[in-house]
Amino acid sequence: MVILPSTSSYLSMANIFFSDKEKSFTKEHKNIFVPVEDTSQSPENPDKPDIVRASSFIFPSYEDQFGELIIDDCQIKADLYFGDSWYVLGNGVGIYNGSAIPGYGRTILIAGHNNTYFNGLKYAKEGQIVKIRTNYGNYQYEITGTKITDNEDRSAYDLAKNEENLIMYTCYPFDTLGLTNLRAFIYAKYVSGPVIDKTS
Amino acid sequence: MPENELEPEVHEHEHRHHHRKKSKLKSVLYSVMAFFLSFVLFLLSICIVLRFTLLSKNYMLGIMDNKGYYSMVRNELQSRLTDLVHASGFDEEFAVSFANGYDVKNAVENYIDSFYSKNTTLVDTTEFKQQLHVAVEEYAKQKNIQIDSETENNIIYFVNEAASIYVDQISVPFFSTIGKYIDTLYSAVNITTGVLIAMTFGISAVIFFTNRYKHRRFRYLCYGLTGATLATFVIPLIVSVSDKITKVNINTRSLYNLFVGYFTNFFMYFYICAGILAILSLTSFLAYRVYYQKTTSH
Repeated sequence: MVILPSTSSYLSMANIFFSDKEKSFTKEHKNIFVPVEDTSQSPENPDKPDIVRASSFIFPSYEDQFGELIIDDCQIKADLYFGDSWYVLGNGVGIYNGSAIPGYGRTILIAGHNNTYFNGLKYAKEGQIVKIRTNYGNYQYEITGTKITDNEDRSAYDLAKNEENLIMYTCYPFDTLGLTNLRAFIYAKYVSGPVIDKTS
Repeated sequence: MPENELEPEVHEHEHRHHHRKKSKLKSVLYSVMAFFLSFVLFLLSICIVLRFTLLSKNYMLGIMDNKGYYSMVRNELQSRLTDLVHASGFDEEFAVSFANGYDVKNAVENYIDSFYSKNTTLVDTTEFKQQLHVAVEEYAKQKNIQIDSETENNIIYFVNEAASIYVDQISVPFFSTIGKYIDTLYSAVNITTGVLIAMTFGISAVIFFTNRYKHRRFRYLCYGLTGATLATFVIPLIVSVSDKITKVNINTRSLYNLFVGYFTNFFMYFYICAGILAILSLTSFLAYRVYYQKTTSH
């Protein structure tokens, strides 16, 4: 165990030789977003959400665009990607790949830049509706609150929560030049949208 | 037949037997020496290749120049700075104009120079930070943006982040790990090369001056040189057959191209060494044939 720290750099150096295929540097970013008709609620029972089978739609890969996020009151309309890489945040907003996608019954953590796609979050207020349209269903969430905190504050989000909820975050303050240590978190609760049946 | 008449024949038989035994022993001894010679020549080839490639600053700079490394680093730096600039409230053109104006080639050359000459792998970011800071201030002036103390802190954060991207782009991964060994390796290779050259001459001299017949001298030299040729030829052959170089797991295009170019040329040097050894081996074989024919005609 004592020698591990000193050997790790050499092991990672050796690791570069253990690949079985030639490297490709052509990036392919897929757009799998095809809008679906509004099935946010079952027509027979408005309180019971539709169920969408997990096997019936294409699950997004990292950096795939698979939907869009709209907050009319904040003048936000951004492409929604899976992942939150530099590429993604340069082209829209992205779901952190350690969180869940809409309909999964867990926390959805979405990031965006404060000067571009999430600049409108400065107008976010309780009760405003967030619409997320994906390639498998349309969702609505209602903003319940906001929080300004340090970028190291892990208590600002709970990714293990067993309840569908949406958290959007961006750098704070808005419209500033340079990088900041503060983050603005906007919390929203689930209102409607199909639930993903993970067993199918 | 009387007993005393048989004696010379028995003596001659014993003498011949003794002579054959001695000749066999000599032959084994010279074969072992030829084997050692091939091994020493093989090690010498490795040392010479290392001396002119991995341990040579000019070799590294030459590959960087030939493979377009500087322009690729500039493009990657520009792309990463554009992402950062995008996240920091600047126009995208800000990153493009800044990265284009910055002398990436000079920075990379300084880094390589310090790696080989000073055994350090630190990238000096002072100039980069100063230039970026000036560019930010000019940008703010152009856009009529007031810089208060909070914005100033955000700008410092941005400049530091940009500087860490710059360090990441200019530096070569794992150089910091191997940098401390360069000096030791350099002297070790130089000493080993000297010892191996002395051993090559020593073994060759023993083979040459202790053999009565000239054709035998060249025969054992030919053995040693052929062995060394094959051993030196096998290394690049295995690498090119396995096609491992192009399958290396490196994430940036600039480093990947540098690595592939660097090691392709590195193994090319082995082929060159094997070629030189093959010519020497062929020459000694021809010399052996000439002297062998002379000996048998006598």
